[in-house]
Amino acid sequence: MRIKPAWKSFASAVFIFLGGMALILASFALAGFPFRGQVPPQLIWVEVALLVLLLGIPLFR
Amino acid sequence: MSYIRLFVLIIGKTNREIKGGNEGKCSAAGEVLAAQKGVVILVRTRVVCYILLLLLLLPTSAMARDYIEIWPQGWSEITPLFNTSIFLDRFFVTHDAEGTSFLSADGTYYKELDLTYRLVQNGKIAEEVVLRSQAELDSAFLGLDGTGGRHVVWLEQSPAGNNISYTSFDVPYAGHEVLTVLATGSIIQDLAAHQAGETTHVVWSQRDRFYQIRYAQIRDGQVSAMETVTDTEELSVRPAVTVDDQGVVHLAWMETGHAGVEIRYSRRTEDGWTSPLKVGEGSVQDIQQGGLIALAAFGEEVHLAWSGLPRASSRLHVFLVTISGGEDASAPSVVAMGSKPRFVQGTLGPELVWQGVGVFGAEIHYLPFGGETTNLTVGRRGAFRPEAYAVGEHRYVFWLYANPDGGYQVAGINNQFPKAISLWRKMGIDEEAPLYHLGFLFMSTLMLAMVYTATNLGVLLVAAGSYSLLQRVGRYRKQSLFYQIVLLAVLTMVIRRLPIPAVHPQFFGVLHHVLCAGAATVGTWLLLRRVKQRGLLFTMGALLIWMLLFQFTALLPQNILL
Repeated sequence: MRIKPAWKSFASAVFIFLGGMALILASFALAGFPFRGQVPPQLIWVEVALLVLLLGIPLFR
Repeated sequence: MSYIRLFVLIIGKTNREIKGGNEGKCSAAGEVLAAQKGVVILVRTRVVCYILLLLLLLPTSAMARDYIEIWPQGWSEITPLFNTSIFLDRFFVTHDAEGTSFLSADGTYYKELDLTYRLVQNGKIAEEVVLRSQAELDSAFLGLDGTGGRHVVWLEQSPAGNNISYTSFDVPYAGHEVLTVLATGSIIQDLAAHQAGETTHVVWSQRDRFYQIRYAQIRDGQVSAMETVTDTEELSVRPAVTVDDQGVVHLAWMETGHAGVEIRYSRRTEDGWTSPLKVGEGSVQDIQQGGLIALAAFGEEVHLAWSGLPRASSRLHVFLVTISGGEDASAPSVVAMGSKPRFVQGTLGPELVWQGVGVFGAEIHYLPFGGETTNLTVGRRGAFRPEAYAVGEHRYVFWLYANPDGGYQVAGINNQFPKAISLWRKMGIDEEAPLYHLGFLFMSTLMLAMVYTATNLGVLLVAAGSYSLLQRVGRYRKQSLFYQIVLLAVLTMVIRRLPIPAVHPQFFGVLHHVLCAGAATVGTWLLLRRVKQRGLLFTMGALLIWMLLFQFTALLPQNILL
């Protein structure tokens, strides 16, 4: 079995973190710097609904 | 040279070293060379690279500025205007064709205050008039009648007695005469007023065994009505008054008693004042801090904003209520944490400014009609007591800053002349040293993300347990890796909401939240997509990576603002 060298794994991880940072900073540039706020109660229900949807997908495939 | 470019060069060089190594090659004599030389070159290069990276990343914390001012997009520079005091609960600002008018009580001793009117034209003070000097002022009001007239009412206290005075003058200022509206030996306080055309509607709280709300009307320099609105055995204080398009006078005040503080509302009809309507609950804490009710009429609706304590909270929050037809009051809704709400004058719908709570103290927050809240204050200076007005589509917001040289300063911002902001600054990055700041941000956020991930150990364990149980069902176990990582991510996000001890990053809006979750999920999938093993170890690894990525992306704006 071919094992990925450690430095490659490290580089991949660094690039993924840098990519995440680039994505967030790009969203600031496009949509403006976000305002600190409170979690809307609807968001929690959206997350629960998404979980239910994901759990349901394999059952109806 | 950017870190990314350097990193690519480093990796590129390492690759070349591997390819150019001697492993497996033959010498001229035909003997196979050993692999050791290539390995030694590779290891030496890597050590050099790591040292280089270390040397680059280490000074970032020293070279990068630790704090970046985040400017509200679409707003101007903050302009300092003049010095004043905080002895009155509010200063006044209003606007007409002549310019922007201010009324404030200036001075350094509360018994020797100067009631000062200022007219600002094109950003400069065109007129500055002391209307009453060296007096102990409790409250004041400035109103414009739409024809250039300025109407000022103030309440002053002295050992000889207390009185409410009124004056009016035009632009340019050519002197003023003072009318005594009320002179009394009893305690009077909390004067508020509303200017409707030529008529000034004045309300205040007066001690008459108990504190009652009183109302007066001033027209053509004469007191045309004087009424007592309340008749209770409790303390009726902090009145606010407004007049709608139909000329109906609306009044709100705070009724304090053993049961707490009630926000009450009444309107003036031909038959007198309507029975008080309780619209919400106020707070003694707010009264102690000089809190007032903001009252504004838009068509047939009257809107009230004040600050109080929501259930299960000891921090003041801004509440909003709408009264339709003078009788039907909506349930109080919480706008945000903060105090001192004021409606923006001259708008078609309710727009609010208030004193919000920031990391470095009070901030000024603005909520447009049907829009999202914006923090208008920049930097670490605490800002408080906002006032605002609108001219067409433009908004002008003013507040008080503590002056480093002593006293307080009125400062203003507007969205008429937006400040040009660089792309770096839009992202919260220091445009003078963007790469150092990016490096610093990357390192510090990564370290902070590790700490936050460690505090979420309970969440991770519950998520791992739940996911392992799901894996016992064949239908879930056989799904693709991407599905499994998405399921793991959503499951973790839901479990984060449970009351499990953990530390979470501050919330920066739905878009940011969705992007963080998306980036963490895709990133975890990219890192693990070639891993064939499954089981509890894989689940825990995936969870750790996801949580670290999520915390890292979620902490970025919080870390920029710190």
